[in-house]
Amino acid sequence: MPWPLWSQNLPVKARSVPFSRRTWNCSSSRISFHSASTLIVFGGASQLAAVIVLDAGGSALFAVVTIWAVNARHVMYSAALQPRFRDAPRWFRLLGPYLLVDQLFAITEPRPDSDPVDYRISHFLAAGLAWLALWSGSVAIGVVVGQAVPESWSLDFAVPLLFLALLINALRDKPGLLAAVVSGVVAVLGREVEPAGVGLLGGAVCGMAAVALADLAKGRRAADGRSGRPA
Amino acid sequence: MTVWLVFILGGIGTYLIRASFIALGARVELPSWCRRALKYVAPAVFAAIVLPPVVGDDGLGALEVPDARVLAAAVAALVAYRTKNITSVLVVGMVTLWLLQWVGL
Repeated sequence: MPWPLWSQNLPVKARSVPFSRRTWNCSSSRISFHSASTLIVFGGASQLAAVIVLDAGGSALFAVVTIWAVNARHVMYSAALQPRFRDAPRWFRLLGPYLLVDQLFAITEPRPDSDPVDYRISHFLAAGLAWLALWSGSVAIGVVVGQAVPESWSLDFAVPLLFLALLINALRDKPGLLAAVVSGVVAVLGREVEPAGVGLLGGAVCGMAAVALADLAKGRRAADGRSGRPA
Repeated sequence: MTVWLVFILGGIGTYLIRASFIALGARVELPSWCRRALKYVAPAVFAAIVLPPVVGDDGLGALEVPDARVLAAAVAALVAYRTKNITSVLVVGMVTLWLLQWVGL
């Protein structure tokens, strides 16, 4: 679900971004600004975080670092999909990752390993381009109608709801539950760490480390059990 | 101008982050423990995205004394578990939140 359609934060905050303040009265340039920045970064949460930094008087450099930090989690998506696309043609391996946002990962990751490479590529591109079109269109609409939506509607809550649906769908076994619990708790504890996104990244890394450690402990227990048995 | 520069540099970095491992293709071989841990990227990352905005400023304390958002998320989680349908999760979650806020939670 494209939340820029509802999230009034992006356009409202952007009112105080230096560039758009100048053009505040001209809604068409606001639309082109937001559409352009969306096509350049294609990461809603990171764009919002950068606008909030600039809005609060933070430096441009810190805003850039914030965008990188919020999107740093995508390196894990890239690593997770690497085995599947290792034999894909070079053009795809260079162009495809531009589309690799959370929702596309949620759609492509559960595909079976048995998919042929060609199918994988078309599936990835079709879903990714459809999402790009839907998303950037929603941003343009959100710039115009977003401010008409009262804050009391709490439409920002749709974002965690969407990811909650994706999370429950991704929970398939006990290690997954362990990863989610550890990750969620660490992310909550680190929610105020600057730049934005560091708490999220730290949480996710801790969650996966917990799975790896549990694996290791299990392997060791199994090994001890074998050596403890009489020959 | 500065704002454009912020988004252009941010966009280049974001692309490089996403391209990283996929672009390297067959030139990298991740160790097996790493590949196994990477199977849990989705639950780990999505949980880290979901929990902070649900609990809000109260942090983990919000789970002990649940407010409207925590309760609405709990109901939505149940719907997600039962139906696996994103639209139902969004509708039920939002309506539950509105009802709870309406009764004053």
